[in-house]
Amino acid sequence: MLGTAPKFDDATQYSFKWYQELAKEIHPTEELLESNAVRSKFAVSMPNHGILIFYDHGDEDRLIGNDGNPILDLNNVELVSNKEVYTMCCLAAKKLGVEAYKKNCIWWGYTEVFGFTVEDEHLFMEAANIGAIYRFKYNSSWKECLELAKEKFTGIIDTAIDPWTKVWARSNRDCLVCYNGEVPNTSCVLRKIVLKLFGKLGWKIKWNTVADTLFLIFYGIALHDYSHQVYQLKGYHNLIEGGYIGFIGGLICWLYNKKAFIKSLCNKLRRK
Amino acid sequence: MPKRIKLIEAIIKQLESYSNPDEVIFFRGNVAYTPKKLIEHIKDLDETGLMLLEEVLKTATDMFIRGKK
Repeated sequence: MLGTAPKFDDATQYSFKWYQELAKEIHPTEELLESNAVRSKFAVSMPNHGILIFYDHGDEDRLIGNDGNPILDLNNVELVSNKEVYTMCCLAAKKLGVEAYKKNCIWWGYTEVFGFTVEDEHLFMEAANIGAIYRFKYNSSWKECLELAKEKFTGIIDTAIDPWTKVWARSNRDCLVCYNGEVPNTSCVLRKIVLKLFGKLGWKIKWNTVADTLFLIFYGIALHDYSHQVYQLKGYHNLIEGGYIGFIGGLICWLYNKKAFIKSLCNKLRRK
Repeated sequence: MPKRIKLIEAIIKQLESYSNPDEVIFFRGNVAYTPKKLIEHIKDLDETGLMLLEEVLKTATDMFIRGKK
Protein backbone atom coordinates (compact mmCIF):
# COMPACT_ATOMS: atom_id res chain seq x y z
CA MET A 1 0.00 0.00 0.00
CA LEU A 2 1.39 3.38 -1.09
CA GLY A 3 0.39 6.44 0.93
CA THR A 4 0.79 9.80 -0.78
CA ALA A 5 0.17 13.14 0.90
CA PRO A 6 1.65 16.44 -0.26
CA LYS A 7 1.61 19.48 2.04
CA PHE A 8 2.10 22.91 0.52
CA ASP A 9 -0.74 25.27 1.45
CA ASP A 10 -3.23 26.03 4.22
CA ALA A 11 -5.80 23.42 3.18
CA THR A 12 -3.16 20.68 2.93
CA GLN A 13 -2.05 21.32 6.50
CA TYR A 14 -5.38 19.74 7.43
CA SER A 15 -5.47 16.99 4.80
CA PHE A 16 -1.91 16.01 5.72
CA LYS A 17 -2.91 15.71 9.38
CA TRP A 18 -5.94 13.59 8.38
CA TYR A 19 -3.67 11.35 6.31
CA GLN A 20 -1.32 10.88 9.29
CA GLU A 21 -4.24 9.86 11.49
CA LEU A 22 -5.35 7.40 8.84
CA ALA A 23 -1.83 6.00 8.43
CA LYS A 24 -1.78 5.15 12.15
CA GLU A 25 -4.75 2.86 11.50
CA ILE A 26 -3.91 1.23 8.19
CA HIS A 27 -0.08 1.33 8.11
CA PRO A 28 0.91 1.94 4.45
CA THR A 29 4.01 -0.03 3.44
CA GLU A 30 5.53 2.96 1.63
CA GLU A 31 4.86 6.67 1.86
CA LEU A 32 5.51 9.65 -0.41
CA LEU A 33 5.01 12.61 1.89
CA GLU A 34 5.41 16.36 1.38
CA SER A 35 8.34 17.05 -0.99
CA ASN A 36 8.57 13.35 -1.93
CA ALA A 37 5.02 13.39 -3.28
CA VAL A 38 6.00 14.22 -6.86
CA ARG A 39 5.36 12.56 -10.21
CA SER A 40 8.84 11.09 -10.77
CA LYS A 41 8.91 9.30 -7.40
CA PHE A 42 5.29 8.25 -7.75
CA ALA A 43 6.05 6.67 -11.14
CA VAL A 44 8.81 4.57 -9.54
CA SER A 45 6.84 3.55 -6.43
CA MET A 46 3.32 2.94 -7.71
CA PRO A 47 4.07 -0.19 -9.79
CA ASN A 48 5.20 -1.94 -6.57
CA HIS A 49 1.84 -1.51 -4.84
CA GLY A 50 -1.73 -2.71 -5.29
CA ILE A 51 -3.33 0.08 -3.27
CA LEU A 52 -2.92 3.87 -3.44
CA ILE A 53 -4.03 6.25 -0.69
CA PHE A 54 -3.96 9.88 -1.79
CA TYR A 55 -4.83 12.86 0.44
CA ASP A 56 -4.67 16.36 -0.93
CA HIS A 57 -5.67 18.52 -3.90
CA GLY A 58 -7.12 17.14 -7.07
CA ASP A 59 -8.83 18.30 -10.21
CA GLU A 60 -11.19 16.57 -12.63
CA ASP A 61 -8.35 14.90 -14.50
CA ARG A 62 -5.48 14.84 -12.00
CA LEU A 63 -4.11 14.24 -8.53
CA ILE A 64 -1.80 17.11 -7.67
CA GLY A 65 1.68 16.58 -6.21
CA ASN A 66 3.72 18.71 -3.84
CA ASP A 67 5.21 20.81 -6.67
CA GLY A 68 1.78 21.65 -8.07
CA ASN A 69 2.22 19.26 -11.00
CA PRO A 70 0.05 16.16 -11.40
CA ILE A 71 1.38 12.93 -9.97
CA LEU A 72 -1.40 11.03 -11.69
CA ASP A 73 -3.37 12.20 -14.72
CA LEU A 74 -4.90 10.86 -17.92
CA ASN A 75 -1.41 10.31 -19.40
CA ASN A 76 -0.18 7.93 -16.70
CA VAL A 77 -3.48 6.54 -15.43
CA GLU A 78 -2.19 3.10 -16.51
CA LEU A 79 -0.19 3.11 -13.27
CA VAL A 80 -3.36 2.36 -11.31
CA SER A 81 -4.96 -0.16 -13.68
CA ASN A 82 -6.19 -3.25 -11.79
CA LYS A 83 -5.47 -1.49 -8.46
CA GLU A 84 -7.44 0.08 -5.61
CA VAL A 85 -7.30 3.85 -5.18
CA TYR A 86 -8.62 5.71 -2.14
CA THR A 87 -8.58 9.49 -2.52
CA MET A 88 -9.57 12.40 -0.32
CA CYS A 89 -9.38 15.26 -2.77
CA CYS A 90 -11.59 17.45 -4.92
CA LEU A 91 -13.13 16.44 -8.24
CA ALA A 92 -10.78 13.64 -9.38
CA ALA A 93 -13.55 11.02 -9.43
CA LYS A 94 -15.24 13.01 -12.18
CA LYS A 95 -12.83 12.18 -15.04
CA LEU A 96 -9.65 10.59 -13.74
CA GLY A 97 -11.59 8.14 -11.58
CA VAL A 98 -13.76 7.15 -14.55
CA GLU A 99 -10.69 6.59 -16.75
CA ALA A 100 -9.09 4.51 -14.00
CA TYR A 101 -12.33 2.53 -13.59
CA LYS A 102 -12.24 1.72 -17.31
CA LYS A 103 -8.85 0.14 -16.59
CA ASN A 104 -10.27 -2.14 -13.91
CA CYS A 105 -9.28 0.14 -11.05
CA ILE A 106 -11.51 0.54 -7.98
CA TRP A 107 -11.70 4.26 -7.33
CA TRP A 108 -12.91 5.97 -4.14
CA GLY A 109 -13.26 9.74 -4.32
CA TYR A 110 -15.30 12.87 -4.79
CA THR A 111 -16.83 14.20 -8.01
CA GLU A 112 -17.13 17.78 -6.71
CA VAL A 113 -15.05 20.15 -4.59
CA PHE A 114 -14.45 18.89 -1.04
CA GLY A 115 -15.34 21.36 1.70
CA PHE A 116 -14.82 21.39 5.45
CA THR A 117 -15.15 23.80 8.34
CA VAL A 118 -12.16 24.60 10.53
CA GLU A 119 -14.25 24.39 13.71
CA ASP A 120 -15.41 20.83 12.98
CA GLU A 121 -12.48 19.56 10.94
CA HIS A 122 -12.14 16.52 13.21
CA LEU A 123 -15.64 15.40 12.14
CA PHE A 124 -14.72 15.76 8.47
CA MET A 125 -11.52 13.81 9.12
CA GLU A 126 -13.50 10.94 10.64
CA ALA A 127 -15.88 10.86 7.67
CA ALA A 128 -13.04 11.13 5.14
CA ASN A 129 -11.03 8.34 6.80
CA ILE A 130 -13.78 5.90 7.75
CA GLY A 131 -13.95 4.19 4.35
CA ALA A 132 -10.24 3.38 4.26
CA ILE A 133 -10.22 2.20 7.87
CA TYR A 134 -13.09 -0.24 7.34
CA ARG A 135 -11.76 -1.42 4.00
CA PHE A 136 -8.09 -1.92 4.86
CA LYS A 137 -8.23 -2.57 8.62
CA TYR A 138 -11.49 -4.50 8.97
CA ASN A 139 -11.68 -5.85 5.42
CA SER A 140 -15.24 -4.61 4.81
CA SER A 141 -16.54 -4.57 1.26
CA TRP A 142 -16.31 -1.34 -0.73
CA LYS A 143 -20.11 -1.11 -0.75
CA GLU A 144 -20.28 -1.34 3.06
CA CYS A 145 -17.53 1.26 3.37
CA LEU A 146 -19.37 3.65 1.08
CA GLU A 147 -22.59 3.26 3.06
CA LEU A 148 -20.69 3.83 6.32
CA ALA A 149 -19.00 6.96 5.01
CA LYS A 150 -22.28 8.38 3.72
CA GLU A 151 -23.97 7.59 7.04
CA LYS A 152 -21.11 9.34 8.82
CA PHE A 153 -21.63 12.48 6.73
CA THR A 154 -25.39 12.30 7.33
CA GLY A 155 -24.71 12.01 11.07
CA ILE A 156 -22.65 15.21 10.87
CA ILE A 157 -25.48 17.00 9.05
CA ASP A 158 -27.91 16.00 11.78
CA THR A 159 -25.76 16.73 14.83
CA ALA A 160 -23.49 19.64 13.91
CA ILE A 161 -24.29 23.07 15.31
CA ASP A 162 -22.46 25.16 12.71
CA PRO A 163 -24.70 25.45 9.62
CA TRP A 164 -21.65 25.49 7.30
CA THR A 165 -20.57 22.15 8.72
CA LYS A 166 -23.98 20.80 7.73
CA VAL A 167 -23.67 22.34 4.25
CA TRP A 168 -20.24 20.84 3.46
CA ALA A 169 -21.02 17.49 5.04
CA ARG A 170 -24.09 17.24 2.80
CA SER A 171 -22.12 18.34 -0.25
CA ASN A 172 -19.27 15.87 0.43
CA ARG A 173 -21.71 13.04 1.08
CA ASP A 174 -23.56 13.60 -2.18
CA CYS A 175 -20.44 13.67 -4.32
CA LEU A 176 -18.67 10.74 -2.66
CA VAL A 177 -18.45 7.75 -5.02
CA CYS A 178 -16.81 4.38 -5.19
CA TYR A 179 -16.42 2.99 -8.69
CA ASN A 180 -16.60 -0.67 -7.91
CA GLY A 181 -20.10 -2.09 -7.83
CA GLU A 182 -21.26 1.44 -8.53
CA VAL A 183 -21.13 2.51 -12.17
CA PRO A 184 -19.96 6.10 -12.85
CA ASN A 185 -22.62 8.56 -13.98
CA THR A 186 -22.44 10.16 -17.42
CA SER A 187 -24.14 13.01 -19.22
CA CYS A 188 -23.40 11.46 -22.66
CA VAL A 189 -26.60 10.09 -24.20
CA LEU A 190 -24.80 7.43 -26.25
CA ARG A 191 -22.88 6.21 -23.19
CA LYS A 192 -26.15 6.06 -21.24
CA ILE A 193 -27.68 3.82 -23.94
CA VAL A 194 -24.61 1.58 -23.98
CA LEU A 195 -24.67 1.36 -20.16
CA LYS A 196 -28.36 0.39 -20.26
CA LEU A 197 -27.61 -2.33 -22.81
CA PHE A 198 -24.38 -3.75 -21.39
CA GLY A 199 -24.36 -2.62 -17.74
CA LYS A 200 -20.94 -1.71 -16.34
CA LEU A 201 -19.26 -3.29 -19.37
CA GLY A 202 -20.58 -0.24 -21.24
CA TRP A 203 -17.73 1.78 -19.75
CA LYS A 204 -15.19 -0.48 -21.47
CA ILE A 205 -16.46 0.48 -24.91
CA LYS A 206 -14.30 3.16 -26.53
CA TRP A 207 -15.91 5.43 -29.12
CA ASN A 208 -12.74 5.37 -31.27
CA THR A 209 -12.98 1.60 -31.49
CA VAL A 210 -16.69 1.79 -32.32
CA ALA A 211 -16.00 4.42 -35.02
CA ASP A 212 -13.16 2.34 -36.51
CA THR A 213 -15.29 -0.81 -36.56
CA LEU A 214 -18.20 1.01 -38.20
CA PHE A 215 -15.81 2.60 -40.72
CA LEU A 216 -14.47 -0.82 -41.74
CA ILE A 217 -17.99 -2.31 -41.99
CA PHE A 218 -19.24 0.58 -44.18
CA TYR A 219 -16.01 0.47 -46.18
CA GLY A 220 -16.57 -3.23 -46.78
CA ILE A 221 -20.20 -2.65 -47.86
CA ALA A 222 -19.14 0.10 -50.29
CA LEU A 223 -16.29 -2.02 -51.70
CA HIS A 224 -18.54 -5.04 -52.10
CA ASP A 225 -21.26 -2.99 -53.81
CA TYR A 226 -18.78 -1.27 -56.11
CA SER A 227 -17.08 -4.52 -57.20
CA HIS A 228 -20.49 -6.13 -57.75
CA GLN A 229 -21.55 -3.23 -59.98
CA VAL A 230 -18.30 -3.50 -61.92
CA TYR A 231 -18.87 -7.23 -62.33
CA GLN A 232 -22.46 -6.74 -63.52
CA LEU A 233 -21.45 -4.06 -66.03
CA LYS A 234 -18.19 -5.45 -67.30
CA GLY A 235 -17.75 -8.99 -66.08
CA TYR A 236 -14.55 -10.46 -64.58
CA HIS A 237 -12.29 -9.46 -67.51
CA ASN A 238 -12.44 -5.74 -66.73
CA LEU A 239 -12.26 -6.02 -62.96
CA ILE A 240 -9.39 -3.50 -62.60
CA GLU A 241 -11.10 -0.11 -62.40
CA GLY A 242 -10.02 3.41 -61.39
CA GLY A 243 -12.45 3.40 -58.49
CA TYR A 244 -10.34 0.76 -56.74
CA ILE A 245 -7.48 3.27 -56.56
CA GLY A 246 -9.80 5.41 -54.43
CA PHE A 247 -10.54 2.47 -52.12
CA ILE A 248 -6.85 1.54 -51.80
CA GLY A 249 -5.82 5.18 -51.28
CA GLY A 250 -8.55 5.64 -48.65
CA LEU A 251 -7.43 2.53 -46.79
CA ILE A 252 -3.76 3.63 -46.84
CA CYS A 253 -4.73 7.06 -45.47
CA TRP A 254 -6.82 5.42 -42.72
CA LEU A 255 -3.98 3.08 -41.81
CA TYR A 256 -1.55 6.04 -41.77
CA ASN A 257 -3.86 7.77 -39.32
CA LYS A 258 -3.77 4.65 -37.16
CA LYS A 259 0.01 4.22 -37.21
CA ALA A 260 0.37 4.92 -33.46
CA PHE A 261 -2.24 2.26 -32.70
CA ILE A 262 -0.64 -0.24 -35.12
CA LYS A 263 2.79 0.39 -33.55
CA SER A 264 1.49 -0.21 -30.02
CA LEU A 265 -0.32 -3.34 -31.22
CA CYS A 266 2.90 -4.66 -32.84
CA ASN A 267 4.84 -3.93 -29.63
CA LYS A 268 2.26 -5.78 -27.54
CA LEU A 269 2.39 -8.78 -29.89
CA ARG A 270 6.20 -8.74 -29.85
CA ARG A 271 6.21 -8.73 -26.02
CA LYS A 272 3.86 -11.71 -25.97
CA MET B 1 -40.66 40.21 1.51
CA PRO B 2 -39.67 37.52 -1.04
CA LYS B 3 -38.45 34.30 0.56
CA ARG B 4 -35.10 34.40 -1.21
CA ILE B 5 -34.31 37.80 0.33
CA LYS B 6 -35.25 36.43 3.76
CA LEU B 7 -32.85 33.54 3.15
CA ILE B 8 -30.03 35.89 2.14
CA GLU B 9 -30.66 38.04 5.20
CA ALA B 10 -30.64 34.98 7.47
CA ILE B 11 -27.31 33.80 6.01
CA ILE B 12 -25.75 37.25 6.39
CA LYS B 13 -27.01 37.47 9.97
CA GLN B 14 -25.44 34.08 10.73
CA LEU B 15 -22.15 35.17 9.16
CA GLU B 16 -22.16 38.40 11.15
CA SER B 17 -22.43 36.39 14.35
CA TYR B 18 -18.79 35.22 14.12
CA SER B 19 -16.61 37.16 16.56
CA ASN B 20 -13.72 37.56 14.09
CA PRO B 21 -14.87 38.38 10.53
CA ASP B 22 -11.37 37.76 9.16
CA GLU B 23 -10.90 34.30 10.62
CA VAL B 24 -11.18 31.41 8.16
CA ILE B 25 -14.35 29.43 8.87
CA PHE B 26 -14.18 26.91 6.07
CA PHE B 27 -12.18 25.65 3.13
CA ARG B 28 -13.64 24.66 -0.17
CA GLY B 29 -10.87 22.99 -2.14
CA ASN B 30 -7.83 25.21 -1.70
CA VAL B 31 -9.87 28.38 -1.11
CA ALA B 32 -10.26 29.66 2.44
CA TYR B 33 -13.40 31.62 3.27
CA THR B 34 -13.84 34.19 6.04
CA PRO B 35 -17.23 35.58 7.17
CA LYS B 36 -16.27 38.97 5.70
CA LYS B 37 -15.49 37.46 2.28
CA LEU B 38 -18.64 35.33 2.35
CA ILE B 39 -20.87 38.30 3.15
CA GLU B 40 -19.40 40.14 0.16
CA HIS B 41 -20.05 37.19 -2.16
CA ILE B 42 -23.61 36.78 -0.94
CA LYS B 43 -24.42 40.51 -1.11
CA ASP B 44 -22.98 40.72 -4.64
CA LEU B 45 -24.74 37.49 -5.66
CA ASP B 46 -21.71 36.66 -7.78
CA GLU B 47 -20.83 33.12 -8.91
CA THR B 48 -19.57 32.11 -5.46
CA GLY B 49 -22.52 33.78 -3.75
CA LEU B 50 -25.00 31.89 -5.91
CA MET B 51 -23.09 28.63 -5.37
CA LEU B 52 -23.28 29.16 -1.61
CA LEU B 53 -27.02 29.83 -1.76
CA GLU B 54 -27.50 26.71 -3.85
CA GLU B 55 -25.56 24.59 -1.34
CA VAL B 56 -27.56 26.02 1.57
CA LEU B 57 -30.83 25.28 -0.22
CA LYS B 58 -29.73 21.75 -1.14
CA THR B 59 -28.81 21.08 2.49
CA ALA B 60 -32.08 22.51 3.81
CA THR B 61 -34.01 20.39 1.29
CA ASP B 62 -32.06 17.27 2.25
CA MET B 63 -32.75 17.80 5.94
CA PHE B 64 -36.41 18.55 5.29
CA ILE B 65 -36.92 15.43 3.13
CA ARG B 66 -35.08 13.15 5.57
CA GLY B 67 -37.04 14.67 8.45
CA LYS B 68 -40.27 13.76 6.69
CA LYS B 69 -39.31 10.08 6.39
